[in-house]
Amino acid sequence: MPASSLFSGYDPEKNFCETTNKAVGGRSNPLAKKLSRFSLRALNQRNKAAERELHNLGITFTVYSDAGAIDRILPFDPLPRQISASDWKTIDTGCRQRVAALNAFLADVYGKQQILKDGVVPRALVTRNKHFRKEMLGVKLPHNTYTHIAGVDLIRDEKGEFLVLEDNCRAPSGVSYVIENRHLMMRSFPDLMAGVKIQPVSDYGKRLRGKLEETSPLRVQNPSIVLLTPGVFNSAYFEHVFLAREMGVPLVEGRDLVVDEKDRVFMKTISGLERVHTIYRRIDDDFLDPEVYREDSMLGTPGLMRAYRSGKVSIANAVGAGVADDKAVYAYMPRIIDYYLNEESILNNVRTYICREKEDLAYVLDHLEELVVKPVGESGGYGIVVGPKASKAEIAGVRRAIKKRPSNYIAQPMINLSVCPTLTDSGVRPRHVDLRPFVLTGETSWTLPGGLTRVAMREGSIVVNSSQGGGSKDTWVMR
Amino acid sequence: MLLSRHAENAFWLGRYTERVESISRLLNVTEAFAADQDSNDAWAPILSVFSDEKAFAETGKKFEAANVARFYLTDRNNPNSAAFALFMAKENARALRHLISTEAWRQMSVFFDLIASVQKRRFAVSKLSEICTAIREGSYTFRGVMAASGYRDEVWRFYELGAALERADQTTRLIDIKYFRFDRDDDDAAAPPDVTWWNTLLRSASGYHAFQRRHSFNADPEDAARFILFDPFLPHSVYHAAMTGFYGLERLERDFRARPDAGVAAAEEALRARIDNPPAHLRGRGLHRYIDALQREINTLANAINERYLSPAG
Repeated sequence: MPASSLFSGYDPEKNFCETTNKAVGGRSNPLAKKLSRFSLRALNQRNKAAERELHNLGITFTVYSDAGAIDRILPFDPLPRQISASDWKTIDTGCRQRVAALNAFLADVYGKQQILKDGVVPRALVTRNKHFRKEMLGVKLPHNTYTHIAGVDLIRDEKGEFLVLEDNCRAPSGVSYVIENRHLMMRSFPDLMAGVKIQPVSDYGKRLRGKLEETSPLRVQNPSIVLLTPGVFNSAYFEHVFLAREMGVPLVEGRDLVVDEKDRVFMKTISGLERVHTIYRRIDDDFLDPEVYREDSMLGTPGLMRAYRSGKVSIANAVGAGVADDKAVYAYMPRIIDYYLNEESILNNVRTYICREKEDLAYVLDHLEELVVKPVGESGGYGIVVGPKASKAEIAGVRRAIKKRPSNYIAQPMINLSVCPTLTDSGVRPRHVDLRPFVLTGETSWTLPGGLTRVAMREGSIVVNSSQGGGSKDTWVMR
Repeated sequence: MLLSRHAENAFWLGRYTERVESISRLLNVTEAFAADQDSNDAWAPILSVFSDEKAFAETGKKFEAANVARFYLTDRNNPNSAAFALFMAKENARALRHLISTEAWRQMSVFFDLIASVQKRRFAVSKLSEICTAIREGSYTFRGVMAASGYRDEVWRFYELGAALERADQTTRLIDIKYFRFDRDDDDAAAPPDVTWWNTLLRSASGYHAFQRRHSFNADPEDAARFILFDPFLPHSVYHAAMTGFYGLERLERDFRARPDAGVAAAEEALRARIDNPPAHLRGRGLHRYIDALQREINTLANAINERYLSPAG
């Protein structure tokens, strides 16, 4: 790292720094060199303009209140995160391996249930999981693909090893920011990107459409694909708009669809009813079909499950895929990978204590101050207690909760997430980051180079979720 | 193929965008006319044109220029206000975001923020003209961006159709601001609007100079009324707006196999006949009644379009 006023006062301390602790491509880091030509003031100015542009372009999530609709942007940090070509190779193959195992697991638990019979994963963990859908038992899906779009949340520890923190098999969000962040960087910081060889991300929509076509109901040529959204009030509505636009498919709501008595799905157009073959849905299982799940759902379409089970329509991700990304199942992933693929996992899990297992429970209760405790079946960073940062009252509270329902919790050692130089009010400072690569699966799998780098904007915070005030960075996979 | 719901959003995006603009025109005309008078009386007609007398009374605000102006400009609770129309325009655009250009959404956001900043402060009547101009420019820019960047698909057709019907309707209201009172039998003898008034109206319909070119000599108020209602080249004339609407329906059928049904065809025929057969004299009670009938035909067509395209059964 060249001496530069921009980085004065920058100290990652004991954390692994994504920019300074490694030399990209074996030479001195070209990004750091280029950055050193910027003054803090210039960087701030460009960043402000970039954020204003995000707002105007409507790359936002919307918060509705009595006062009306407020469009907020996801805070954007202009200092990109880089991933070397060799690190990327590990991530790419590791993520695809994981998704292959997740799909095999799902096909099994909704099929012969061999893994449960063999006692590798406790039966109750699967069949009593709230995301397990018994309606899916015996349903055959094209290419046995259940999780067409998967997000694998990775973190990097103090030694620089990438670890899997969580799998997302339902409707992982954030990919629109990956692509829009890149576009924004190209517009706002062309000089920073000039001459740097970065793998492109812009063909995501085309790839996604291709994967959805591969998994359409069998024998359909040119299947008609739609994206099913809960509507404009959903906080991720921009992403739904983005994906529909990139794929060139209609953005429908449940009320735009009908299922006829022959279990075929149609959409209501200005020229009458038109057949639908494949639905990329961004609504939860619970709301999909009021005939089967929540009766009060206004978001879904009555009869959709009939159509799905009879193979007249494909749904991505599959109904019931959530059972695989549960935090309790996560703990068994190394064994699941070994069981189906007969391979060692390329990406390791974070060491995970399963409170339903007696020994682990005892260890967790003894070490609450050191561990991160997570309720299973939650997402978005809700209900997480970070031992080393929690108050005595919070520790006591989570202890009571674990004792009451041990099977509801897992715990992991506190990992000091890697950091990235990040623009803050007090200059460029280290902030913790994670990484969510996106894996698309039809007949085969493909990983979008890079993924969403989320950054905890508050000093010292390791919670990067956007619902908890996190921001994002452009992520460069070097060629 | 376009979802009926999105056709509805496009239709109303067109209507509300046009409405924002026409409200600013109405306020301009009212203000210009009020400048010649000492009292607040000039601010009464706009309430009548929208049948808002009761709604305004319910706000509890005193009847005076500033309050009526704010009622129509910034009161989000008033469904006839510019602020409400713009909010609805943006929400319809939001539902259509994947089908309109990113530039169009960007301009809608910028436009919306501009009006939101006006809403935050209580403006003085002396600022009204300036604000109305800003609104008109915001709307022009949005429509310009739509025209310059919009793909001419079904979305575009419904957007144009909505805008055309709204424009036809609003132009009749602009005239009626002076003629609504012929509704009252006892007021038949009221003095007809003079040349100054018609000039103001022509200006606010962006037609003043064109009118001078067409009628350089001896023009009278009836010529002005005829011009604003029937001129084939004035974009704000009822005739031009209606023809734009008819053309849009034709293109929907020709290009997208979205054939109008009997209801739409009948409503179109009725409006056409009404435009082709104006009363002999465009003044006084006759003009008011004619305008009333035009408004009804426009409304019937809008309902028929809604039935046929925008709210499908099933």
